Order: sequence, then C-alpha cells, then structure tokens
Amino acid sequence: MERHLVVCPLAELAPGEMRRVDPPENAPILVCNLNGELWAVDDTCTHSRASLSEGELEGDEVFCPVHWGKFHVPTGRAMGFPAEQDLRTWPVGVQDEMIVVELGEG
Amino acid sequence: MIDPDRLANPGEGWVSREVYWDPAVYEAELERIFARCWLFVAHESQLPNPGDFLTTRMGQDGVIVTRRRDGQLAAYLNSCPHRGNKVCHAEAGNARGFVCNYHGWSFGLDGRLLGMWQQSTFEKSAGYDAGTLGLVPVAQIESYKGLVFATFDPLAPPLDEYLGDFRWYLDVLLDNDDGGTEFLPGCIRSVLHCNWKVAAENFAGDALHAGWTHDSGARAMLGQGLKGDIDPSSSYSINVNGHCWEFALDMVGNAATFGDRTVARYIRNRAEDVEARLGKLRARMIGAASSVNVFPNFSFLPGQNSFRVWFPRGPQETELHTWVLVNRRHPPEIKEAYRRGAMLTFSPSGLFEMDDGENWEQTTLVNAGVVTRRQKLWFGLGQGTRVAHDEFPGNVFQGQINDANQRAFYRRWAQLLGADTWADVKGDPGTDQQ
Repeated sequence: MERHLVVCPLAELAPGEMRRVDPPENAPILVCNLNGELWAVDDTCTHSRASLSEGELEGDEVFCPVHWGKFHVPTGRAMGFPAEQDLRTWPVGVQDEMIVVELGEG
Repeated sequence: MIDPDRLANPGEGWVSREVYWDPAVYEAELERIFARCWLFVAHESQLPNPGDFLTTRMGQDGVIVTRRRDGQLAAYLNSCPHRGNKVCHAEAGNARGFVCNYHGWSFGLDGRLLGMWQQSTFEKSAGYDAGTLGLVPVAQIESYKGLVFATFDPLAPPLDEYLGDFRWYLDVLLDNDDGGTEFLPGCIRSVLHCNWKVAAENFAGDALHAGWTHDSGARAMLGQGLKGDIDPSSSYSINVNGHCWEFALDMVGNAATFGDRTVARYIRNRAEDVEARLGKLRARMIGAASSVNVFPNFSFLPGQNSFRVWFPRGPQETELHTWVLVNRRHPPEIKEAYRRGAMLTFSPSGLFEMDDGENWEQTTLVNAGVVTRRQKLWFGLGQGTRVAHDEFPGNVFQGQINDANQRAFYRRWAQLLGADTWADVKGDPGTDQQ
C-alpha cells in the first residue's frame, strides 16, 4: 500500500527554509522549500551521521553542519569532499495545503 | 622567576643587555607580559561579516580571530584540543567553521566542537564530552574605536583601563573623522633577527635615531637632512601605563617623507575640521614627526600610518606584520597615496625601514659575546625633563629627543615581570618618573 508522510502545513515552510521529519519506519527525511518549489532528500549526511537539517541551506545546496560537505537538493547529488555518496531523493507534493512526502510501497 | 630589578633600573637610566638575549628572560616575558597583557589582534574592518576570520599570534601563541554568526568577535587558540595540530592554515578568509586536517575534528565559529570523523566511536567512549572539547577561547576580547585587542588573562583590567588616558592620544588617528578608520587590504610580513623589545622601544621613544640613521633616506625624500639640535620646546614624549608617544607638533613631518605631497596637502586642508573635533594640539599631531608603541608590541607611525606588530619568535627573532590605516571616508586617491607612501618608506623594501634592520639586528646579535652581554646600556637621555601640561594627559616630558619613553617602557616591563598576578600590578609605573 502507498505510504504518505504528512510533514506540515505549506504555510509553515517558507522559501529558503528546510525541515526534518522522522517517519516511523524510514531514516529521517529533509524537506526543502527552494523558491517555492518543494524537494525532499535523506536528512543524514552520507559522509558520517550528521543531520543536514542542522546545517545551512544556500541557493539549491545544503551544507552539512559538521564538515561542510554539500549536496544539490533537487538531485541529491554529493557536490564535494567529504560528501561523495549522493542522497536519496523522495517525491514530495502538496495535498489540501499540507506538505506530503510519498514513501512508496510499504 | 627572574629578578627584573637586576636587569633594568630605568630610574638610574640603565638596562642590562641580557634582556635581549637570556632565554629565561624571554620565557618570563611570554608568561608575564604576552600571556597577560591586552594584545592587538585585528582591525574590525578586516572582519566585517559573520564567518570572516584571520589568523595571527598573541606572543608566540597562534590564534584564530573571527566574527561569529551573532556578530560578536571571538578569538581561539589555533590548535586542535584532540592532538594539538594547527587547525586553520589560511591567513584570512570567510568560513562556516574550522576543520582539523589530522582527524577531522570540526569546530563552529563559536569554537564549539561540532563533530568528527568516526563520531559514534567517540560518543561510546567513557568520559567523552563534546561540550568540553571546543577550541580554547581567549579570556577577553574588546575593541577600541576599530582596533581589536585580546588577552589570555581573565584578571586583566578592562581594555579601557589598560589603555587609560592613552585613548586621548589614540583618538588623534582613530577618531579625527566621523566615518572611523579601516586597514587597507593586505599585510606585509618580514623577519628581523633582533629581540622584539629593540623594535618596540625604538617606536616608544627613539626620535633620536631618525636624524642620524635615516639621514640618507631623509635627503632622498625631503631634499635635505633632518636638522641637528632640534628645539625641544615644541616637542614631547608622553607615556601612560607604559604606552608611549613621542611627537613634534609639525602636523606633517612624517607625512612629508612620502616625497609626493598629496597626503601632506590633504592633512593641511583638513586641519580646521580636525581642530574643531580634537582641538588645536591634537590636530597638529596627525601626520607629525612622531612614533608610538602600545605596550607591549603594537606600534605605529602617524603620518605614514604604518601600523605594526612585533611578534616575538625567540630572544633573537621577531616577525613583523604591517598594515596601513586610513579613514574610511578618505577619497580613493588619498588612500592610494597612503598605500604607496607606506610601501616606499616603511616596508621591507622601503627607504627608511631598511635603515633600521641592520642596527637592530646587531644590537641584539652582539650579545652572543658573554662579556659583551654583561655590560649595561645607558638610557639616561632627558632625565629631569618632566613637565606639567594643561592639556596633555599622562606622564609628559619636554622634548622628543629623550629616553623618557624608553625608560617608561622598561618600568612597565619590570613591573609586569615582577608581579605574580594583575592584582600585584599597582597603577602606572611612570607616575613617579622624572
């Protein structure tokens, strides 16, 4: 069955902001609002274990708070050492003014 | 601990040459002067934005000076608490934080340990507490009108008290215009094989050497040598808490060494505005024949506006960093004239700076001789020239051809070396100076 994760009201995630959500059966997910477009990627830095939600969102890149590895949010691509492995991306959309991440078949 | 009274008696007008040579004296200076005094670390204009940083030293301790996210300035030892490696190797820049090359320990702009390579293994180790393993901060950091000072000593008096009435004189350069000051970009670095005090005492009060050492440079830049037997009635040596300023009241004596008259003319044109702000006397100090040392090792030359720190690197070695100070609101051509003039006069290739190096190095290096080293040096020039002055605060002495400031420098030096803590430092040691 399709699993959905309701994140928060769209109005609570302004452009340039990001938010971490913790699905019950998945690793934490990071939802970003880039100029009004929503994107979701894994929240845990692929280099070690830091939460990207505690880092910095600049343009369409997120910087890890520990060693400043950076990732391209729309594609999840690792952009530079020490981040070498890409982040998984997740489909994300809006239903009834709520941000919803599609977690796929459960 | 060493006995400073055996090494210097400024009241009698002598200093032992051992102060330039003895490793025990040098170690005592690191402990009791450099780990204790307020030391210049930056001009605020070098760190305008959050994340801006520069690396420098306080004594021989490397430090990172940075502007945190909250806008506050901070300074930390530039050494990782894990294995001690130098954390930041850049001279200056903008960063999100600092990561050690050795094991990936990572620190925020607030110095906090954020994480490291193999973090979960650290976290499983008994006794590991990230909260206690950040970069080591200085005890205090404060600014005076753009100049940032720091001290490793939590007991050091506040910066305002440390500078005392010397602030009145500092305002000559730091507060002669509404817009404040800035350092021009870049830092000139050089190494001198001399003791740091040889340079500091020269800037504190040695107007005497200018007419002799720099005679050929003066002839080249001014078209004539400096006059002999200068009338002492219009020049002064003043000191406060060991901070020293010797000066004439000729407004442009130092600025004239640029050869090109752009700066001297500009200073004259501003004289009325500056008088309205600082009064007649201080307006005449802006570019005058003068030199300054803020105790212990931060010096500058009004007029050339060359600001400098003499970093100690052992009893016989000094690393010099220099910058050029200008008013923010100076027009671009005036800033450029200061930059070129400072390069031409007081940089490693400058006409005047290269005159000093050889003298200072030999002043230090002759003390390799054990008999030479035992001899005293005479610092008695101008004994008995103390005057009361209606406007000048601090300890005032008539005439800039005078060792009064160098004696004051060594009074402060001896006072600090002889004190176990700041509580034992009783006031300005120059107040009973004659």
